[in-house]
Order: sequence, then C-alpha cells, then structure tokens
Amino acid sequence: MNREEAMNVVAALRGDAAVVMGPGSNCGLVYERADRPATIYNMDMAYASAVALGIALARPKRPVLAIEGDGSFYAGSTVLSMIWRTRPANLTVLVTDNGVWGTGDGSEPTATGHGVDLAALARVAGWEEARVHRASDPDTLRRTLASALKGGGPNFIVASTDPAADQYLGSFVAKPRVGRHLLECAVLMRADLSRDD
Amino acid sequence: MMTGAEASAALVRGALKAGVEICVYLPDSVMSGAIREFRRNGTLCVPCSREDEGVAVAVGLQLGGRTAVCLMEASGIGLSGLILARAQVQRTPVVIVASHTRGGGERFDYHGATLLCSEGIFPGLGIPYDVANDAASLEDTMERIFATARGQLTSYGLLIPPHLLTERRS
Repeated sequence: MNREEAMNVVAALRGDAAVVMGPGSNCGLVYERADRPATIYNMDMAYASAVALGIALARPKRPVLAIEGDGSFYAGSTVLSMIWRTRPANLTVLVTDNGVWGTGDGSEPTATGHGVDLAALARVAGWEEARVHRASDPDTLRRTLASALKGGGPNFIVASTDPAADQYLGSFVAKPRVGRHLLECAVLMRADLSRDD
Repeated sequence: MMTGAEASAALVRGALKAGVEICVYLPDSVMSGAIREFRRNGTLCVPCSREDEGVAVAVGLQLGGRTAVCLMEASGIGLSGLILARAQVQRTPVVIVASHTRGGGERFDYHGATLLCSEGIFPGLGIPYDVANDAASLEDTMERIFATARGQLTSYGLLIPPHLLTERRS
C-alpha cells in the first residue's frame, strides 16, 4: 500500500468525523479528496493525536480521527497512555508508517525504520489487543477503519505504507497542498462541532 | 492570611465560576490542593503524561466547545512552547495555572530551570500572564483571566508562588 492508497481509504470513509492531521503530505491528499469543515490540517509535530483526544472527550457523539505519520506520532507517543486511561469510544488514531521522515530528502529513517513497533508500543502502554490493528493493504485498512469509525474505541491503527511507492516524500517534490489557513480550520472545526449541541 | 487549602479552594471557585468543566493536569506539589478541590467539586480531572500533551488535549477540548484549565509546575510551560504557539496562531485559548515564579520564596536549586521557563515562554509567545501575589484575590483573578481568554481568544497564564497554595511559608 502506498500513501495515496491509504489516504484514498480515509477520504472514502471519513464521513462527518472530526479529523486532526499531523504534518506532511497526507494533509494535501485528504484536502483534495475529502475536505470537510471539521478538519485540522498540519497540526504541529507530536500533537495531532492529543488534540484529537481532547475533541473526542469534548464531543463523545462525534467520531474523531487522528492521522499522523510515524515520525510525528512517535514524538508524542506518550499520548497512548492518556488515550487508554480515558478511553473515548469515538476516537480512532491512524498512523501511516513508512519508516522514513517525509521532510528533508525523504530518506532519513525514523524510529520505526530502525525497528520501533508502534502497535507493540500501544500494547505495552496497556491497550487491549482487540483495539490495536495493523493494515498493510487497502482492503484491510478499509475494513479496519470502517469498523473503528463506528465506535467501540479507542482504536489504534498502524497502516504500513511503502516509501518506495511514495511520490510525495521529501521537501522539494511537488505535492498537494492544503488551501486553507490553520486559523480558518480552527474556526470551521469549532463551528461544525457546535452543530452537535 | 488564607491557608494553602483555602487559597486552593478560592482558585478553584474562580475557575468554576468562569465555567471550567475539565481540569487537565500533571501532578505538582503546589497544585495538589487545587487538583483535589477540582475533584471534590466533581470536575472531570484528566492526568497527562507530559504537560505539552495536556495542553494539546486542552486545545482539542476548546475546539470541542469545552472550557478547560491546565495545572502544572512551570517546568511544563517549557515543554509546551510549540503547542502554545500553535494555540495562539489558530486563536484557540488555553488557560494555564502553573507553580513557581521568578519572584521571592523559591528556595530550591532544582527549581532553577523551572523559574526560567515560567516567565520565559509566555512573553516570548505574546501570551499574557499574571503572577499571583495575594491569595484573597485568586477567585476574582481566575474569573478575569477566563474573561480575557474568551474575549480576546488568547491563551493566558497564571503563575503561583509556592507559598500561596501550600502551608509552607518561605
């Protein structure tokens, strides 16, 4: 599975889920395919899942999806414990794991590129095995994400993507961009979530 | 003079009057009375693993329409620079109440870095902050801070010298 295939699955399934995305090419792909008002793009490194946790706690009836690359997620991976302690049923964390940093020349290995297993990290942080998922092909990701977004969470999905099949790696390649300022994203997110009152 | 417990209760009364629904915290000796008081009042208290993680959760809570307060030692403000900057840029206010200041009463060398963080990050990011110096005014101070945070869509800090909320008097 490559990054684009993974984000195509997200775009097809997100529905009205509130989405918080970490930095990187995933953002532009989702913006082009499935932009909705309740979307925070390019949340700063390490914080997408924590911000999503806050939204999930604030809005328990709304599905909430965090999407982060493995480098960003690992940088803030202490959040695994906080999510498991609070256990919001409406929260799904999806990590796209290609083992390299998307910035720079796009080839520097991340921690997972050196062997860190994020699904195993969730398990040692206390997560039940049934809430921790792995997907390495679009069909598995589709089934897993569709089920997770129905509730019964929190769910943690590690989607392995192939860096060799990723045309968007690196800082200096053409890639889809988000066409909305992050201030506007926050305003739209707040307004959309307030519809649930 | 108010006891530490009374001052902690006053701080929490002000927060509750301001509409605080959730307290995100990392345990801290100075803040422990306030954390207990929030719990006693039935406020949802969410412990975090790192203070910046807690601030990020508070950002999400605010986006979801809930009013949160973050309690921590000021060292956590040092960890939270990036997420506080993001909160400012996207105008999502987070209120932080943190222990230790660069003023009097700081006896311990191991709080040296904490003190530098306490009044280094806020002005650097253009985040307004107050240093509490009177326990009797804590209740009103909390209400005013939340009024500014909401009205101006800005994060806001309140720094607490240790003697104000604890029974030790330096």
